[in-house]
Amino acid sequence: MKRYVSLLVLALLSACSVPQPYRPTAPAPSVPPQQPGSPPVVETQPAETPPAIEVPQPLPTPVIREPVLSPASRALVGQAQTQLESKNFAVAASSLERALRIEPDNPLLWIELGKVRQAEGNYVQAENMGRKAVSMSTNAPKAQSAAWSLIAESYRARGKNPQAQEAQARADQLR
Amino acid sequence: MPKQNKLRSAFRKFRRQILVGGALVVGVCLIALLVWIVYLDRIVTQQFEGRRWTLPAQVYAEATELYVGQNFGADAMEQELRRLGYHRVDAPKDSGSYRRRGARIDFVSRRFQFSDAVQEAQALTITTDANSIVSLTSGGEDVPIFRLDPLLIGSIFPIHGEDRVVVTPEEVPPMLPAALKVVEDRKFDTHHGVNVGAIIRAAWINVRAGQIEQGGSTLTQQLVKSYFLDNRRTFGRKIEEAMMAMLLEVHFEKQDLLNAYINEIYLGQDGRRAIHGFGLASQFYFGKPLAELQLPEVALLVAVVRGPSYYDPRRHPERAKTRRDLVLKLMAEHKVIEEKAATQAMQRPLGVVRAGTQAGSYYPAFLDLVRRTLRRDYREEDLTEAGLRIFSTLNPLVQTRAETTLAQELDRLEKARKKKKPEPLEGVVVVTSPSSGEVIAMVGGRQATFEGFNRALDAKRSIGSLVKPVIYLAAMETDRFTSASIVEDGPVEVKLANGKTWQPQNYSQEFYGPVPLVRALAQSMNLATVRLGLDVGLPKVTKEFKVLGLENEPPELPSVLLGALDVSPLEVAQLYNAFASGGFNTPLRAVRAVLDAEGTPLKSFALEVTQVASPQAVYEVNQMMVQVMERGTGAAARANLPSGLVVAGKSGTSSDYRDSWFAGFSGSHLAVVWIGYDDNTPTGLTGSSGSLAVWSKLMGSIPTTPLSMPLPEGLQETSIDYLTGYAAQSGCVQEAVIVAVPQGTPLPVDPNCASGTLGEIGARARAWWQGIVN
Repeated sequence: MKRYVSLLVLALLSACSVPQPYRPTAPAPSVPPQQPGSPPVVETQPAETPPAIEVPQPLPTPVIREPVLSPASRALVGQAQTQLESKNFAVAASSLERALRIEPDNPLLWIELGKVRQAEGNYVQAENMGRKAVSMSTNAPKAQSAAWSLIAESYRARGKNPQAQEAQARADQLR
Repeated sequence: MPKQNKLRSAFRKFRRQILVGGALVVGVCLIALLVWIVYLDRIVTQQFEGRRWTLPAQVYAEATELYVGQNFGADAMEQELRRLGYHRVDAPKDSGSYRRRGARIDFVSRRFQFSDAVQEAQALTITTDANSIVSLTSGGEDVPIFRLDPLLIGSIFPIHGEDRVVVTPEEVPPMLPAALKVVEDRKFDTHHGVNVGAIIRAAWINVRAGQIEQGGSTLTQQLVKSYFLDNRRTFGRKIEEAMMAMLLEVHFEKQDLLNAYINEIYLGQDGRRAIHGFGLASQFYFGKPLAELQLPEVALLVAVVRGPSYYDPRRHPERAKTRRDLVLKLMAEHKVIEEKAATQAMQRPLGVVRAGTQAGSYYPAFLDLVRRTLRRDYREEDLTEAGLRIFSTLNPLVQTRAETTLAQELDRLEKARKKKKPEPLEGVVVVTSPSSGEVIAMVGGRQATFEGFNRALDAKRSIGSLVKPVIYLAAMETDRFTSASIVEDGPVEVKLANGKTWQPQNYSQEFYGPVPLVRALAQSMNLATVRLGLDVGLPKVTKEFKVLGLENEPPELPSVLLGALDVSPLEVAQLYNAFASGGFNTPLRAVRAVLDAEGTPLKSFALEVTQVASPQAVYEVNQMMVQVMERGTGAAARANLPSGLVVAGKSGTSSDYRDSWFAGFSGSHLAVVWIGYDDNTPTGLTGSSGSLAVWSKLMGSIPTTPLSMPLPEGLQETSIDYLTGYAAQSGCVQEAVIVAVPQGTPLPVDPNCASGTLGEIGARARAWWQGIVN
């Protein structure tokens, strides 16, 4: 008897898993013939979205984890700083790139490399390095603040004062 | 008699004229001879003065960095040193030697001119645990970081194929000149270019033997022959050679001539590449610098001089050993070495490294990329002649793994095939380090050492579903879609400009109905993607390709949405590198720096990054690509990957199975694999059934880190039902999947679940069912 019940349940369940024949829930996008040389004009309608509710998500409190340099990176950053002082930009950058190959996800190294770019007048790359550092330091306010400072500095050097102020404000806010 | 008298009288009559005529002829001949000698002398002095060999640019691999925490157990560390040609000794004192005692390795590094500094030779001690370095010291002091001298991976030699590494007299082990003299030219120190006695002796021996057994050429003559003349062996050539040899001796010191000989002479062939000079031969046969060669190795090179092809130590080891031992015997006989040293050396194996697997191997596809990179800034002659030193990004370990993995998988795929094709299945692998944009390995074809069509750069093939992540990224960037958005996977008809109707199909020929984007991407649904792409707008989508780093923006055609787009594997790597590095474009590069022959830095290719996509959008797409590997078309990779290695990727198959692609990345590596036929005939392989195995086996065999991206501001991770896209509610969810969506994104709920018709019972039944199935 028990076996029959389970067989019945099984049959019911497997019936559920049979693929349903296709029933369109949205009309297929109709596209009028395009003019030669012009992009095809398309008209689509999004799929019919079922009634939506806001699902409350308990946001986990972010764990603050400030990055630290490994001893190897620290030695290379030290070297780079000396090389930067003697305006040896290419060599300083190559020391930092060595460190980045060991710790590519450490925002502090990207900030250091950005400082070298800033010092040699490559402000766009300085800003880009800063942005890279920002993207890596979501849970590290100190590092993120330093990255925004670098971005602010690169804006200032280019005379983009409003953007510089905005970036500086973000840096200060995180401090 | 009368005739004779007539002649005699005639002679008497024209005696003066005949004498004058004779003198004239002799005079003209002498002048011609003199002119010829002066001519040869000019050639000899002009071409030989300063001895400007054309010096092919030398290309180095990436240097291995040593530091505490680096992934090297003692075995791996020893292997690394051996790969660089370091030899094991009892007490390391000389550069290039090491001692291993359990988990401790002492070694003396080689002096090396890096692009940023000279690193002097240094004695270092490393201790390791099972798989990493725990201490690195020099003279009792901690050394925070140290780089090993990099592997010389090749050179950019000219069309005629002559390749060499020039050495100075200080870099030549003293045994080498001594051995050369004993074997090739015993009177070298005293003769004037030719050794008449030796020529006569050789001629006598040759006449008796009826064939040429011995050459009487001095080292100087051999040098002349190799340096100035072609290979024709005529009597005239011999005279010219002898004359030039004598002229050389007049102008130059013996020491200079000997050093020129050491750098000039031909010592082997590696495909199209001719190995010239003992400096390169030492790298080619033993994988280490000439200065570090030991007696038996020096003797082998000297043995090879006589016939690099006949005595090729790789192809004819027996022959080569016999001749090497003869060289050793001659050296002992002539008191160059002790009898005992010779006997000991004869016991030693040839010690030649395997071609193509270790040092001395050759990476044409990668070198081709290096050459093309540099051709933008340098003339071809500068590359092949000026002795530039090029610091590349190649990682030899990853390169070797990529080569072997590709070859093995292609063999396997072909064996599994019922109908054999005469043409071989071909493949490409490109590996990069995403954050730096460095190309660390590149295989341009099944036979990695074959130089020719470089598929990695030049095979522009249809990339199929590899385009999908780009479309999804464009969609995320509109802020109208999230990875949880539901799209309809249903029939699509697009009227094209030419009046035809485009009716794409799913790979399975099925319709999946409403699905969340994460599932549409994971299972590579064509119809859902086409609808999404059309909704986002073709111009936005095609622009996204360009923004991410594709050189040319694709045409705004609907078929682009399914990957009707011809792109080279390297360009695919550039495209996916933007995903792998969190939305930053980094121009791919194979060269870090270039130094001139004197060691002055000429150019460095600095790391550059540009943000090309919002971090949030990239994060969402990357998480979806993680699901490709977890439950989609990339799931088969799991078996080949270490547990815990999070990876993201996407398969691609072009129409009629002409191209099988897989592109994906871990935290530290991006790899792109292509498999197909050169003539573009169907392979019958999808991205998952072909390239995925190469990709996953490669990723599983190199030290790589799991993908871990910090959650960008404004995003939250949430759980939805993979099949339907409904919010995962306890009791209702069939297959929960975590996706990243902007904070506060409304999620649809399962109406059945909300009304509770199935509710608890349904969930319990499913749990029970799961229990049966699993």
